[in-house]
Amino acid sequence: MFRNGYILSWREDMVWFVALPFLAFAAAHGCKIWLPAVAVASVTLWITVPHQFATWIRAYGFRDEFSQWKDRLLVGPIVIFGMSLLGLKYAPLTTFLLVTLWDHQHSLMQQYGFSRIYDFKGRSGAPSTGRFDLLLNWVLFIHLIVTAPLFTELWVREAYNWGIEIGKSGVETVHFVSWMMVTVYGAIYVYHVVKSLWNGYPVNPQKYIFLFASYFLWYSLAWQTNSFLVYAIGSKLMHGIQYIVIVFWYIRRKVERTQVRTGLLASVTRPGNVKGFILLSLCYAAVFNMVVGRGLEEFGFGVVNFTVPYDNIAELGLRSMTYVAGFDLYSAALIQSMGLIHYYFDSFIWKVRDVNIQKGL
Amino acid sequence: MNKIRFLDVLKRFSPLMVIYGVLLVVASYEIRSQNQTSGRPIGIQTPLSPEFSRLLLQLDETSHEGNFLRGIEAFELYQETRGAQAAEYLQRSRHFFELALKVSKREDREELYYYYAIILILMREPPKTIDQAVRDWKSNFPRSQNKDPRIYISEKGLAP
Repeated sequence: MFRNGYILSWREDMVWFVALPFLAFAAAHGCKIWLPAVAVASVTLWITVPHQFATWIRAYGFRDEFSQWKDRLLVGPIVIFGMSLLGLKYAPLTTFLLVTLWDHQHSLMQQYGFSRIYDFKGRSGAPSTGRFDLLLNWVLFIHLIVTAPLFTELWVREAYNWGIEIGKSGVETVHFVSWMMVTVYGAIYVYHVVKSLWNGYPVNPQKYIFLFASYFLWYSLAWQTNSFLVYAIGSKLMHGIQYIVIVFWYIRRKVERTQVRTGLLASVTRPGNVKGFILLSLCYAAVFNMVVGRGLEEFGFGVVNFTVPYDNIAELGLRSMTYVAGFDLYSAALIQSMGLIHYYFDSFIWKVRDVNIQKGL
Repeated sequence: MNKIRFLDVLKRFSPLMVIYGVLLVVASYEIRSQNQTSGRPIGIQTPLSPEFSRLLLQLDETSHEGNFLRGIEAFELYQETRGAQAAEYLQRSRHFFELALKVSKREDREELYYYYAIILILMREPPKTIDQAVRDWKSNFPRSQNKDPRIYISEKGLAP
């Protein structure tokens, strides 16, 4: 009936896939209480940027996988960067929407991907469970975006931006429909699990513990706080750290199984060299931060702040720091492109059904 | 053979083509509507309409965003008027900003901190209160490209 399977091991899964969302919840609230708003930029710098770096070494690091996706890995970044640049210049609102929506889709797909790995590892679930899990993640995440007070403000604002002046009853109707959707699909999903068990397909409880922890973080942050700062920090911590962990272990296992013992990948992922992997990721983050011209304050979560109280004092003739406007456009495009390329690559390099990928799992 | 290869390439890039195809359609709508709505503030950092801020407060009377937008609306009215009426708008703006700050002291909205500091300067609050407000703004948003609130006031011709 139940068959446990772990992504890494019992102990490590408890840390990275179960406890981490709760720690991220606490950390996000801690940032809100003790740190200024720039902390969210620091979390982006030290967690999100390194997790994007993990995508690059995961995607470009193995010769066989690079050959498998060569055209997409070469053409994709060029197309995405070009479109980001044009988008920011001519249709910023649309570009902002794309980045936001793809970011949300990417987040839920990561949790869906982990749930697939749990079934793969536990040899659990019916053949159709993957599709049911995918829909479950979509339903839960859409419901979160539609009904949570934090996000309701956001989509109502976007509706107004696009000329759709929805009223209070309209918002309440949308909320009601969303609740109905969750109720109906929840019943369908439970029926699927019971039917699978009845047909002799075991269930991996770890998958559901993991999903509960993930959605606890998202739902509690979106419902209990009215701060994007808190939501962003909690969400980025969970998403980024879990991703870095799976990439590290994927590379390490694949290196062990395929006997590739030389090169950067083998070096940074060999047992006992976690520090090397982390150091490399952080160096990338630091260099990236400087390349895009971001402030030094972001290194220190706002605790070290070079521009307080003033960066410009009119009485003394000291002018404010200014940035070259043109360069800002390229910086913004580069920042957005890195995220989008990461989403794009992840949409095809993590197919659990792929035998080649299974070697790394 | 070439046809099969073309279809294969098409299949591999289909997700990217669909995403950017939809983006182009939506972007063309945005570009067209920019001409029609150039007078209307567009973007996530700007107040959109009084109906929007009132709706937010109807949905949640403590809405941080709703109170912030009501404060901005009152501040815009202050800039357009003079005399006792202007002072009343300024007081109203401060009231809504303080409601917003009460709900979320460290919210990730720069304008709330920035305009609140401006309002305090315009209302001739003690220097310590003003310094604290400006410090709150700067420590939360050290990379802000907004000018010092005092320069903003002098450039806009607003008299404290």
